[in-house]
Amino acid sequence: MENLLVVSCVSDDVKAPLSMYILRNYKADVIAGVEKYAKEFGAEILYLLPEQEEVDGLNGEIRYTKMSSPTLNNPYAVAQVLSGNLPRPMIQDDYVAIYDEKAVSVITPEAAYGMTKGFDEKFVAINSGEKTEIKKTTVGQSVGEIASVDSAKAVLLGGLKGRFVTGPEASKIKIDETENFSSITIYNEEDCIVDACVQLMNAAYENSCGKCVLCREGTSQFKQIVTEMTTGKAKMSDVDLIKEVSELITIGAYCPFGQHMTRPLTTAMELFAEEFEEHIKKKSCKCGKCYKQAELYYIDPDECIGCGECIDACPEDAIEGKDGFIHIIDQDLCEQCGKCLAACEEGCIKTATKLPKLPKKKTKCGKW
Amino acid sequence: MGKVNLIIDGKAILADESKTVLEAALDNGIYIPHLCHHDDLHPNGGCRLCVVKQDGVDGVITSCSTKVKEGMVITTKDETAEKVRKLSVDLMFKTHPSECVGCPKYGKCQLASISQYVGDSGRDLRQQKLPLIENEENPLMLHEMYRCILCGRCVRACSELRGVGALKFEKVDGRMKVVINGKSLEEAGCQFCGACVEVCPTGSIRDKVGVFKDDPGLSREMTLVPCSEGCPAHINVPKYIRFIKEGNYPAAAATVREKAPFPESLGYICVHSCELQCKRNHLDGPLSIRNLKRFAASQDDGSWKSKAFMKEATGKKVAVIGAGPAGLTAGYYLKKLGHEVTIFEKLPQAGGQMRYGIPSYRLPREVLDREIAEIESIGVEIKCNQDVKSAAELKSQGYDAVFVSVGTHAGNRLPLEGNDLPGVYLNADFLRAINLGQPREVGENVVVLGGGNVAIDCAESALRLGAKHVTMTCLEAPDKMTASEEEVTWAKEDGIVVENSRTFDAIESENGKVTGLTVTGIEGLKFGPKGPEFTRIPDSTVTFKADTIIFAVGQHPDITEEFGLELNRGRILTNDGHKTSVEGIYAAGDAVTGTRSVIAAIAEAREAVSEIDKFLGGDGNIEENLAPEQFANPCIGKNEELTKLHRNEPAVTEADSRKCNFEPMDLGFDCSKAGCEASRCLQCDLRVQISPQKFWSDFLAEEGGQQ
Repeated sequence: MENLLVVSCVSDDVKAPLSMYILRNYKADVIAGVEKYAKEFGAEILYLLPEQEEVDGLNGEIRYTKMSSPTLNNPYAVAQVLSGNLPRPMIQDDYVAIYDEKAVSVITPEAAYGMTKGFDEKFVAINSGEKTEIKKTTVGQSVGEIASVDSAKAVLLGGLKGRFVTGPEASKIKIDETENFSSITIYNEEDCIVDACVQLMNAAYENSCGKCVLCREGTSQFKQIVTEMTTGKAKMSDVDLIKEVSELITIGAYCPFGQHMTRPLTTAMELFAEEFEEHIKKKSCKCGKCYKQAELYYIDPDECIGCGECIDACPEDAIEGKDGFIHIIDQDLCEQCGKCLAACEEGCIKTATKLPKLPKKKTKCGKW
Repeated sequence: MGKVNLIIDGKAILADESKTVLEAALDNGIYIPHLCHHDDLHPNGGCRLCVVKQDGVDGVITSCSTKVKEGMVITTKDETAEKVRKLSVDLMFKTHPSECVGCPKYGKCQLASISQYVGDSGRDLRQQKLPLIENEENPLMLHEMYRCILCGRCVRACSELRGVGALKFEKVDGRMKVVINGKSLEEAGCQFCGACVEVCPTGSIRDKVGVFKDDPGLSREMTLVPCSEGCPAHINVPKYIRFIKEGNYPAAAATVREKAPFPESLGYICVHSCELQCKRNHLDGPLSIRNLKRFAASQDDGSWKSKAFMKEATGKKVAVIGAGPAGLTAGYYLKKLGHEVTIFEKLPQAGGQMRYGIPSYRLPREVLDREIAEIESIGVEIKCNQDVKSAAELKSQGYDAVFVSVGTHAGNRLPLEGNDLPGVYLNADFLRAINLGQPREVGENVVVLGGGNVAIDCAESALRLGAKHVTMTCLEAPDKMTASEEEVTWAKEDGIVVENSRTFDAIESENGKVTGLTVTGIEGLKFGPKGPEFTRIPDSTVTFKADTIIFAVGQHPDITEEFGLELNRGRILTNDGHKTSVEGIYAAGDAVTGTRSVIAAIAEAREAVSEIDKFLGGDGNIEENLAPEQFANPCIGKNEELTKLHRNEPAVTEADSRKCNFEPMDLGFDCSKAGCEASRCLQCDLRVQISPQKFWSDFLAEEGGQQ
């Protein structure tokens, strides 16, 4: 069977957009590395690029894809995408991924660069606030030498599979060639760690290929539970729940992404246990990020005419009330979807971060 | 192929090196839970239920996608592995409905079965139920994807087994889903093969109610191949249709002959219950199976003869009374089993209703003659003009067994005044007279009472004998008539007037001559235990002008108690195994069941033959493989034409040129129409190839029933 070497530029971690950077800036080295590898296996070369990225002078066919997934370094996942399907990895003994009757193998630009220049050099994305800077480092350098992390509240080493450490600790850690050091993300005092975890779990959910139950449903659960920690619905027992479930996912998930996507959350919970507790128990966020966003919906008891329109509109059945009585939103059930707001012709559904005094028992409209 | 030694749960196992750990375990009676795995599909590894512990390896391994290796030591009931499985089940039930009892798949759901085995841990994870959306766009299958646990078996079956790829994964609002691969089913190229339904472990993708029979007594094959099930003789319909598609017509004819010795006659006149069951009814109309059979049978080259069994003479003698389809079939197989057979026929020629009931414009006599000659050619003796008065007496004349198939050759006469006037005929007599070459006289205005196929035969025959105005009238409404739709259409084309929903009041006459039939309109017709029940519509009484009246309201056997067998309402009473009240005398066909069909008579006669053979000391086996082996390719691919091909209708002689003679009118298919019609087949039998779903209890049963 013929061989096909796919240079995958779409498997970057969201925190480390290295592929296109390396391909553009070190094109000759990447091409040389790809050439060397392809020759060894007698393979044809195909570059898989994100849509709208144009690179001239590549030594092989170019294909574009809208997909981007951490699984796109797996040959089967790549073969799936080339065939127009969603990426799904296959990890099996002696398994050969086939596309267009060719056996597929995959290389990233970073690995191709390494084939040419050796693996002592390491590209690292440094994220701080909205900014991302990519640096070429040398294995053995410490994190502190390449980024100012000493005063950071926390540093996420590695992206969605990475771990949180404190600034001073991060500073001393030496860069090695593993993926864990493809990105360094700096969080400062004004950054809320729980909110950061919400963002990371949202990204993990989006990045999960959905093949394996533990990763697909695990990311979905973690996303919801961590979000609930920022809206007041979570319980302290959720902390242990996440720890216990994470351990099993790390053992049982199908691919490296699934196994490690729990790490940012579990390490953050360990490192910032108090901050999490404060969110869950006191329902407050020192950084002012979380509970601020969670605007609560309520029905103004002075204006409600008891028409029932909002009750019909609510997909969660979170609104109680009878004809002619003031309707009340059950905050435990409310998902803040806003459908009642649109349904109420009287304009009496309002939002606030703190609820005003509301009727506790059945009250006739106009009697409040 | 090399073998490797490994240990699973302490048991030393020698396994083929190509096997996975899961396969090796299951082969050796060790059950490992698994859900996304399916015997016929490529391993997937997504469900995480088949994880096991391997000595020397951290964590757990996926047994469905790990090959066995020499010296492996596997523990399936490892604590960590069991925890992972429980978590996976926990998570699946966060989106899957937790209430099983209301689910149509209740009791047959692999997920429920596995969750029972694995158990859950009651973690406080969040319920994330999916919106209860049902997609009924597919006319044959129901998609209720809120039950989907994304094992992906349907997607893999559709692409790996079928090469169709009509299903795919897609993220919808962030959540992974199985969706149709295109804007419509047509665009997706769905071939309605049902592979997705067959592999779905939950109630997410199901057959629509009514597509298949829900009868636990039916075998899987009979349930999934409705045309074969609908055929009383269970002819392998998809197989011969596939032979026709391949252009191997003799093989198709041989396939039909495996179950019935009248392939071509059936091709002309079969009531085709197969077509009523055809899955394509739910799409755009059934396959024209009868016409395909007719075409194939007309191309028979006799190549099946070399494969037909013929047992050595047993020295036993069997008498058959009545040379209709049941008698001839019984005679044929009894002779093949080695018994000496004599068929006694009352009428001048063999054929029964096929010759003396069904008009020749529907079944050309040379076709029938040819098929009877084939039966005679193996040594079946047919004695015509022999009126057997008593079956019991015949048996005492040195026969080891007797098979009675005297049919129903006497028409029913309704108790109306004037029912015995000249010019009032009974269906059986009327049709028989025509086929004996001495047709009854018909007047200008003929009224036929009845709404079945025999009534149509009478009406059409009357027309062909010179009647000017022929009216059929019956109790049933147009959509409830027992006559086939096609025949009613042709009758109307020929100018026959059909008056539905009428009850018959009186035969009018003047001076001993029939002048008309008075009827009254009815509604709310029901058939209760005491016969038809209905309400008369006031002021709806009319008289149809008539000089000839034909009763076509059923037939009964032309025998009495003198025949020596116990009767029930005029029919021969039989018990299990087609046994009559006299030992050694068996009966089947219309004489037992009342007027049914040729194919039913054939099917029952085959059953009776097995019983008679066993009675005579044989094994009763009459199964034979006359057709060559067939490779039914499961990889059907995307065929965009499949849904666009509509039912082919046979060439039929124009009304004006057919209604004045008894020449064949339905000219059947030619080669290209037959090929075209055959390619419409949805190949329901391919689904039977798919390995059935197994439950943990099945594996434990294999292990020896232990838990």
